[in-house]
Amino acid sequence: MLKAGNEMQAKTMNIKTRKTTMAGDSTSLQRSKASEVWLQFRKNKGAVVALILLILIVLVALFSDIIWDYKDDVIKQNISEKLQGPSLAHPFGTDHVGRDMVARVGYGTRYSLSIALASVVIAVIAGGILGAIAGYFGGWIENIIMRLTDIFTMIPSALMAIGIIVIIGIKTSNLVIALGITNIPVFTRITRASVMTVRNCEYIEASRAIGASELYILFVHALPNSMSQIFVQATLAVGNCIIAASSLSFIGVGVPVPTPEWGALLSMGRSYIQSAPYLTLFPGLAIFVTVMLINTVGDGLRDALDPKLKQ
Amino acid sequence: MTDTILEVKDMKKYFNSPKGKVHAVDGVSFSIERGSTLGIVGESGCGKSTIGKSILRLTEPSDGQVFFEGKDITEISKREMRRLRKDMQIVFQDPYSSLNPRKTVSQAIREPIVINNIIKGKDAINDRVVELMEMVGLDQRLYNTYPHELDGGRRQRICIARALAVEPKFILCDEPVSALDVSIQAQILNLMKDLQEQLGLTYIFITHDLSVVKFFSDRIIVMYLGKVVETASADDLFKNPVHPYTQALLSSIPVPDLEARKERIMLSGEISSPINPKNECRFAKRCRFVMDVCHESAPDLTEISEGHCVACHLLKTK
Amino acid sequence: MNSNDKKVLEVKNLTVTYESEGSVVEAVNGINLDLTARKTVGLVGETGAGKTTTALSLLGLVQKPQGHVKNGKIIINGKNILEMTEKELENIRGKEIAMIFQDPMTALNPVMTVGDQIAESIVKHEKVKYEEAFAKASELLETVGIDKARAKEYPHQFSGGMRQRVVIAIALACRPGILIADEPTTALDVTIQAQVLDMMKKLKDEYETSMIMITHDLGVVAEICDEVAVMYAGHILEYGVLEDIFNRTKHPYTEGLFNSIPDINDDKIRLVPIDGGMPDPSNLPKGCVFHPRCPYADEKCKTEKPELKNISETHQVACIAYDRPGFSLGRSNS
Repeated sequence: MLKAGNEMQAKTMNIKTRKTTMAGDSTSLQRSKASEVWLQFRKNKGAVVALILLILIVLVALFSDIIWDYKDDVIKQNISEKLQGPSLAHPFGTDHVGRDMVARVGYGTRYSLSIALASVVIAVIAGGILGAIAGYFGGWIENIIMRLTDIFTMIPSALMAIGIIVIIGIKTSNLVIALGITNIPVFTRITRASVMTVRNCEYIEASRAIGASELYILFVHALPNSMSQIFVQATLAVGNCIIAASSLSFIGVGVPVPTPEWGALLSMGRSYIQSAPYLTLFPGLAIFVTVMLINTVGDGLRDALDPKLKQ
Repeated sequence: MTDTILEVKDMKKYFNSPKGKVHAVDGVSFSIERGSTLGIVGESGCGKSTIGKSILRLTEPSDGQVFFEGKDITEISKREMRRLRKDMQIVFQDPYSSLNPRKTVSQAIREPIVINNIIKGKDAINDRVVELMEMVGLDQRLYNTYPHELDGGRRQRICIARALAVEPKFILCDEPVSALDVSIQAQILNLMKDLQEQLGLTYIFITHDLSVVKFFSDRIIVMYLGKVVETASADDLFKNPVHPYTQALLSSIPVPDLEARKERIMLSGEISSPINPKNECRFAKRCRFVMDVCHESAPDLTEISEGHCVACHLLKTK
Repeated sequence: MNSNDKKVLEVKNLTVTYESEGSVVEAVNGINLDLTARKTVGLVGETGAGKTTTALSLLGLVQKPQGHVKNGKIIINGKNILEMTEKELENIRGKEIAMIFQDPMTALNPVMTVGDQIAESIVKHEKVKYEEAFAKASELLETVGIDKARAKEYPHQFSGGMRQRVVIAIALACRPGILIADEPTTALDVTIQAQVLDMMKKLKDEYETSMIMITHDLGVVAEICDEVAVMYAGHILEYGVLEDIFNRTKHPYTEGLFNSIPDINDDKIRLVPIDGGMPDPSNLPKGCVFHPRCPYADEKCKTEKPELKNISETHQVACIAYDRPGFSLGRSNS
């Protein structure tokens, strides 16, 4: 049966597998998993371009305090220059109190990205642990975790985030916590699903047979092999969190003023949408472009990590 | 005086399925002498792999006892069982899925040594890994390669090295060569046979391939739908098969020899699954000698000559 | 030449390669194969021998863009299928040449009844009404040993052996002249394998079909084939009628295969395996492809590529060791 399976594999999809499985005799095949993923990723030209642009945006976020002075460029009001349209001096124009929108949007990169990233980290860790326990051990503990997750999922995430913030107060750190919590169910589900697939692999049983304890197996064998799916989901979640953070800031429960988070910028530009549409256009574009880039990279990663798509 | 290393008594394993209780293993008993090989043969669904996993308590048997060196291991705690795993090892069928794809050859072999604290000290462990690789015929330059870079034969060698790493007394081989090409299969079979001689290992060899089991085993158990139908020494079983199922099974093997062609006993029908079985011979539906009594009660395993037991109602009529 | 010896299939110098990431895998390297009417040719070899690729190219199914049929001719009933358009190929597949895949679990569509799946092929090729095709399908099921009434059941309601019977019924639906069976019994238990092989033999005679049987099991070959081609790394190393291969073995690889199998009629203590593993198909050895694993190889084998040469009317072998005076294999040949 298995021999059949192997032949089938060699036949239908990939000669490459055949090459690598048989290439024990040639010494050149010392490729690590990471470089193999990169080789695979590289083939998707769109994703590579997106990755380069995304790296640029991340660089802007990392060095925004060097590029712009927070006090002078980003939050200092300069009423005399208020509401200027895009020009050479102010390519994105200026806002209603005369602050340069390039600096505001540029510095906002740091806020938007770090809020999203931090929320996703919280969600991955909490959801990952819950999901791993549910998926690996099963039984009553799985039932409890998953039913709770179901309940959480039933509440619209925006509503839940607003609720949490209203309770714990409007603060940037609280926004992160709220977004983190709303994203936990997604990661609980995905970790549980992938741990469950890995749990049934023979090498888990093989490890049990050599006397490994359950926790050891979970952390050394099961979780690392589920990581790629979680990782891909995490990239996509960063995009979603940027939007969610912006939405919350837009309705006024996100970051406090005058923090130049993208959603907050949008919200501020809202009142001038007729007279100065550039105030909403540029932050909106920033969100749109960044999320799109992240999703493209995420899709590329998912394909690169999926051995079934290898050719 | 025989030296029994492992004894299985009246093992049962039932699964619940939507259609009813599956009697995957239903009252199987046998024992193995130290240093010998017991082959368990049967077609898919006969319960042979379930027996193997139940012996090692990788699945918990529903009933029955397993004595390893006189100790009932179905009674002991999970923690104690983990300690015992050092003595009882398993080699799985599929070397493609029984290795963690993220661990290199040396990491895979090192793992059991570290977990069971067999040797201490990094250098000593590394030396042992190299020694084990040599023992199973793995070239040292493969030390840092990943399983997916290797062919099935080499992967199965890694699995064997992992099993040997804890210096076991007993290894359960669950179809260890059925995923391999014939030329590689022969290499692995020879290796396992050599290791048995060198290290005095005891094997249970589970397989559907009768020619392999003949080559490899001292005694053979033939199973059908969770029950033992015949057990005998390997030679005896092949020379003088008594149970109608064993006869059909042996005659069904395609032999790569033009002269040795023989009359084939064709079985009608296919193996079903033992869900809520009635008290009857489980082979009755496909048996060419079926009698009324076969549907009335299940035949007991009866000794017909020394070491040769058969469960068939035909014996009484003869 | 009388009509009984009519060649239904001729493969001439077929070469198939797969390209990926800059490396070229030579899956099939210039093989020649003839199939005479009503005969069965066995393609024997291990994983990576190129058996399945050969079969796929006979149906024009080598997957593009990675797969390329580089060279050669495949002539079915006088027409070279490598020069056919996709439309023409579709008309041939199922009607003149059909294939049985190895895994009956995945070869059937799980959401279509088995009767429908058989009828599908009949409707396509014979331009008949659906009801007529379905009736025919039911009869076919009867022929492969399945109750007519089960035509309205779905694949999951059948066991593995039964499903393989359905797959065979689909392949035979339009009475193709050539049947390609790719390891049709590998996934089955021995007692079921015996049933299915037996049935295939009977149907093949009844339908007057010629067959190419792909297998790794020399036991199955002995059972069902008339001629055998032993393949290794995309090359045919030995070719002959059944007796040539089994009783007058000439190629060291064929000998190695026989020695690797535990023989149930012989109490061997040790097997004699072939050393090493399959060569990397993107980097095949120079000279004879088998030389790195061959116990008889000498310096000449490393550089000179052996040609398939006739050593008798029916028997061909590709081994230059026979240029040495008095060379013979260790395997006792009767």
